[in-house]
Amino acid sequence: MFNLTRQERQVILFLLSAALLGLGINFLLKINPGFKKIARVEKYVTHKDLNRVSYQELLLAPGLSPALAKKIISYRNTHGRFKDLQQLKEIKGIGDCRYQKLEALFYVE
Amino acid sequence: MITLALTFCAGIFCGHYTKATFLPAYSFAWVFLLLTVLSLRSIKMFNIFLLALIFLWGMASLGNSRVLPRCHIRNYVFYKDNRPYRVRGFIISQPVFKYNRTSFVFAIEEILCDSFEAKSCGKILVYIDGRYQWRYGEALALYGRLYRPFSQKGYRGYLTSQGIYFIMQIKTRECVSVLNQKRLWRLKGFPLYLKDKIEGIIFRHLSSLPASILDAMLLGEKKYIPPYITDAMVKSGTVHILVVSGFNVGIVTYVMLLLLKLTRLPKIYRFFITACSLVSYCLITGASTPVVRATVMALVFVAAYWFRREPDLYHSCALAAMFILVINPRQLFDIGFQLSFSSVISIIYFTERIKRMLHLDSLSQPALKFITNSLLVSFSAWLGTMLLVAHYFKIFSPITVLANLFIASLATLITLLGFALVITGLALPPLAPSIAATAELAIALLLRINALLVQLPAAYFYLH
Repeated sequence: MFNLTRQERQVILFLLSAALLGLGINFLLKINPGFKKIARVEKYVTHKDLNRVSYQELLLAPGLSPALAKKIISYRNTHGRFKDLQQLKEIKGIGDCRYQKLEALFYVE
Repeated sequence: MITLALTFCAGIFCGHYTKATFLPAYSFAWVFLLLTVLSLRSIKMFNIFLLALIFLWGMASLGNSRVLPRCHIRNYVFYKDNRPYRVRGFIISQPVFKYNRTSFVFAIEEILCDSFEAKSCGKILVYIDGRYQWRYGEALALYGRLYRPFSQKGYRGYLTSQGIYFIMQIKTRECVSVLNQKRLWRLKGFPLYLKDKIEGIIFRHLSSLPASILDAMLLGEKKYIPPYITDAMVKSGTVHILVVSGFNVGIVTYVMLLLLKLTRLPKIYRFFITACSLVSYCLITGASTPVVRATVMALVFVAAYWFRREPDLYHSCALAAMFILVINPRQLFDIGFQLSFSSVISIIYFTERIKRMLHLDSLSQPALKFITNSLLVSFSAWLGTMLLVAHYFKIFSPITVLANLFIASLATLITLLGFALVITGLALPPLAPSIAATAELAIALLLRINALLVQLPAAYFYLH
């Protein structure tokens, strides 16, 4: 029917299989909310648990100086586990602006 | 070509460690040029003088790259200078919005401070609180303090290698005046326009995290990737997938040649258009070292195919290195340059040798062949970059070979899906959401596998 070369057939097959698979995923996402867990990235992959994060890992966060990272660790050591991310604001040097940045990087379990 | 490139690199290396200035190296280069001309009849002497000339050329290039023009902004702003400056110029990068502020690279034309005013040049990095829709080429007048980048995590060195010596932090919109002028360099303006379009397609169809990963894989834009994702990939030795590589350039070449084949244009036009699209792709992705290397190598291959000559991987690699270093000799000390070339060279060198040593060519099952090939390529790349990674990132990751087997294969699929998404987004928009859903699932799988592998015992060790 179509006079296509092998390369062209491969490209068409790839596009069609990707589109079909995507259609199936969209369908599954609609009928089964549990599928979201597989198809979407979970928080532990992109964020760090504030109660487990190490000093070295804290240093990777943009806007966190070594001094501030130490303050977070010492706050955790003296006050115990963080119960809420908002507790970060109690640390001297973390204002609303810095908190907004950290909010995008950490979570509290 | 390989000897020339190595000699040029040796010259840069020597110039770096001896702190040689431009003029002596340049004068000696002329002396050796004269000697080379005089020794035209003797091949041996000609070769010796030619190599010495190339060596001195490397030294002189590095010396020249260290010299800044007299009007450079660095000569006007002093250390701990707290005075506010007014600068005029234009935006030379695509503005990026992140952490509630807009940032861009700004080329300076004029500098004003107190009663002092002068023509100036050089680049600064500008941060402005808030989101603004300025574009590449927009002329602005800015008012604020200029400070040197902090040296933490080698950030100052990185910016210096990009020719940026100062940062300007602006708090309010009132400190910026738009001058209603445009300084567009069309060769860069059009690729940036295309980049905008492609990013639009990616971010429209995918949620933010998968979009940021795909943006890095297709366009080399890593600014939107959360730091802990990059960290996890450094630990598993798979961070290279977030860089635009030779594979992407290969796909662009393949797609272009395939599409042009349908038009039945004469071969010469097809190759010319493919070469132009490769250069455009290089500019879209910010002409980073790995992309320039891959583009030059691909151009050599396209040219070799056109002239019906056998392309040589080592020579094309050497040519790419020379091309990058002649433009900016300081790239020799850039991590990206070293990792890119060492991985490619070790893949070319080790893969075939190990295959022959273990008699893997005799494998008949295609699936087994594919798996062993993937393992060998990732093992060869690991061998070539292991020491550099240990030196720069202070990390040793035995998990790399296994991680690359899964992650590099998935990354290949994601890159293909990304290109398919862009093409369908432009040509067949109704098909794009389905392809985006597949890409999103593949990215989620990739991140999960990576997170899982990093948690394995003895997956990585810090070396300090």
